[in-house]
Amino acid sequence: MTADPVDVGLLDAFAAGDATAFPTLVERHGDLVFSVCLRILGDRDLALDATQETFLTLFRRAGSFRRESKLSTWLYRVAVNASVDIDRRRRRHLTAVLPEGHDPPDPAAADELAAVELRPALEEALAAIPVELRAAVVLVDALDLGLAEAADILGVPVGTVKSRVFRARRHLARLLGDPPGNRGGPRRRPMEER
Amino acid sequence: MTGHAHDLDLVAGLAGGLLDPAEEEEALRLVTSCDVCRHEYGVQQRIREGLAALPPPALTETERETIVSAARRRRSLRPGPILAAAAAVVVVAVGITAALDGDGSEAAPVVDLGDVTAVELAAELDRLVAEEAGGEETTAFLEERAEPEAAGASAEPDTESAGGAEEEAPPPEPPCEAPPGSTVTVLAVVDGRELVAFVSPDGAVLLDAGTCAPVSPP
Repeated sequence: MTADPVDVGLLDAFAAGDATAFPTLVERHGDLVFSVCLRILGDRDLALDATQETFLTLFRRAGSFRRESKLSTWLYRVAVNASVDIDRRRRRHLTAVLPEGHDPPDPAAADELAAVELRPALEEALAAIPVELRAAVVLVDALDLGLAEAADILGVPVGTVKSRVFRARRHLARLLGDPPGNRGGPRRRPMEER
Repeated sequence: MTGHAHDLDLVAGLAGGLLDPAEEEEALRLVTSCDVCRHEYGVQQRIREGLAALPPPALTETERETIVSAARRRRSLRPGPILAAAAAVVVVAVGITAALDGDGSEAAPVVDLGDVTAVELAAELDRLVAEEAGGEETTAFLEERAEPEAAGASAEPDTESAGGAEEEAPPPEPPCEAPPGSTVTVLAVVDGRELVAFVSPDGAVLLDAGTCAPVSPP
């Protein structure tokens, strides 16, 4: 996995003082970095903060980027760290995260997850699962990255990524009212596993 | 149900093609022969498809420009002369270094963050409080932030450490009186508002730098 030659050229130009190189790097990678941050944080303003921190880190550390790895992987790693950090801080400062007695969604919803009108429910559920699981499932399922790249980004073994992805999907299914592997059994109260 | 624990992970891997060929064959056998496994596969597949179908968010042109200008501003517009900015950064990078008063007595160090977002200020205060309390709160992300200047591994055209300037710059003056027990003073500008924070192992007190009145934490 080596860096894209275009990215290498832009980094070299940036190091040489080319003022157009950095905006071009933001143009090339900004949306995907923002996508990672927004899926993890579920809040556009916070995601913008995390995206800004990510590119500020690139701005300061472009010279130390190792060319044998993909720039996008390096950016995702910084973006995930920034987002997880912001998420933890936000949760520490929140006094009331969810109202008591949050109503479970319609159980039939899980059968129609791809429907556009259910996206907010899925996004809400995504925001409610533990951030380590959220980061893994965002990288693998929402961004369609391979397990190896996700493991590299998260700094954990591939097996751990797999486990987190499976657990994340089960959490999400439960929150959407469809307990995995338990059809017909007692239904857990959604949103209980924060 | 518990006997299916391992098998369910195998089945879960079918969704998204996360299995090698041998595992996939076994998982398919389970899905076709076991109701619980089949249900598990359906759940995993639906969640995966739902996540993959989420519309990819995109930055607006204005947001993209903000990101670019913020990076440049953080580099070039730290408050005070650039030499003072370099000093502040070095203080953050290498840990808190006490300044010396005119009489040579040790004073609480001052960290000048310059223009930051509320989130960035909160992060830095969290980190400093944890550090003063002797904990290891710093995350990988914050280490990323603190490391480069110390390592000198920067490729930016306007290198901050040139000329050994950090030794020449006087520490910024805190605009408000520090409460007893504070060990670090932080100066920052958030949304154009100048703030001062006094950090102790017990927490941080945030004041408006103009009025010295307490303000809510960001």
